[in-house]
Amino acid sequence: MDVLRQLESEQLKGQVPDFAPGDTVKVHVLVREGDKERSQIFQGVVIKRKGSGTNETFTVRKVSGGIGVERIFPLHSPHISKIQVVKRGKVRRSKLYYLRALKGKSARIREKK
Amino acid sequence: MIGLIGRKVGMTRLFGQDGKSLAVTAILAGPCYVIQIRTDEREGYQAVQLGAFDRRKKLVRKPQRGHFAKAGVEPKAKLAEFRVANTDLYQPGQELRVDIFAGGDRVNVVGTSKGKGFAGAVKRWGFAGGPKSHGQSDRHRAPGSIGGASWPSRVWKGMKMAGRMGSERITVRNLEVVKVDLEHNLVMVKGAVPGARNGYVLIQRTTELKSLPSDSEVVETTEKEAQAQEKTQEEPTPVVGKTEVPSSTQEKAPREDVSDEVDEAPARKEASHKKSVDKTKPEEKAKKDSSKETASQKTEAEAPVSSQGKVSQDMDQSTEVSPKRKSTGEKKEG
Repeated sequence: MDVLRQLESEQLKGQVPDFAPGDTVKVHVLVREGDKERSQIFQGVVIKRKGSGTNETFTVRKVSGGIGVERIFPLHSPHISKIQVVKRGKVRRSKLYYLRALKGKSARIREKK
Repeated sequence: MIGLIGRKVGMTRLFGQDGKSLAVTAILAGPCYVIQIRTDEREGYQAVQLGAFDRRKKLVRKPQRGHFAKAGVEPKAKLAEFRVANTDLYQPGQELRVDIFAGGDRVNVVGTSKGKGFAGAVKRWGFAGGPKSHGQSDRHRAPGSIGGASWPSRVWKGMKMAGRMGSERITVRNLEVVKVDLEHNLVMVKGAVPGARNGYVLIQRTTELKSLPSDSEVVETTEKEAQAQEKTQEEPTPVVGKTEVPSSTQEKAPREDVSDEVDEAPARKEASHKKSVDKTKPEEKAKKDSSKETASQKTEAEAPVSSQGKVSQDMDQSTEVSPKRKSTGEKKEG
């Protein structure tokens, strides 16, 4: 397994911003349109982080036009150019699945001070 | 075709050059040493016996120790044979490492699957089991009927029933080599490989794609061939190369017939030639197909995907959760 870790380490991004479930983030995703590459921003609340090494992923949830949208990103994917933390949220669990059932006022997350 | 002995390290995820995520299995392969050459003269077949992974001398029995000493190699834990067409390329003691493979190669991997113990018909054979409700009790994972009571009034041999599952030799064909790490003796293979971690596996380059053109096609051509052979046997002609024409009939054939045959012969030659062309076609097709496949994969990776909006969603395996119920309450928020 150690060999595997070592192998993975080549694939890992050097710097990953510190963020946790409950935080609101802007994820810059590289999108290919024709020959051009541009980055698209997906902003929402991180509801889970899981895995380790190259397998680490995080899920961002946003409500777009009244419809809940969740995207799972591999943390070390080359398609993710940048992750910006917009807000730090104060939450009491590591997986915020309960947000899926909530909307409006009750779906807010208190900000960390 | 020469291969390597390896051990499964485990699975992980790699990002390809296009940024796509690949599920790969890491195999610690070799270095392998040629222990013995099997020859036609001695064993009746040509093969190379390889050994890999050191074992303490103390744990190896004396006759075995001699076997390794002959090749001038430290005792190895695992031995395996690979059939080769030409044994001249190998000498005992020779080292083989992962550089016999390169990224993009296609390999077959042989391993011993994980043992499942005594497994029922649902797990072992994919049976559906019984109904989950409607008054069923104790029938949920039952195999159902296993045969007629009046005829055959016995159970057919080979009937799919519960029993030992797993721990068998399994070959996974045509896996792509994603990466080769000579320093760590690692081969990264796309997809899964049979067996548990640290289990022994054999990696071998995929031989000429027998499997890819649909098997039925191949059978057809061989049937045609057979028919052609029959025909030629009925009226022996000089055209025939492969077919075993009884020489006696050829000798007996009167002169006149031969002259007739001279006229027919070219036509038949053509025909047989066509057939031989037919024969080669599936293989060529297979090659083309495989090259196409790789090409299309590349284009998939580089070329734009038509619906631009979708692209972003599809990349990185990101998934969208299907829209939840719309409600008037949410509208007010916006």
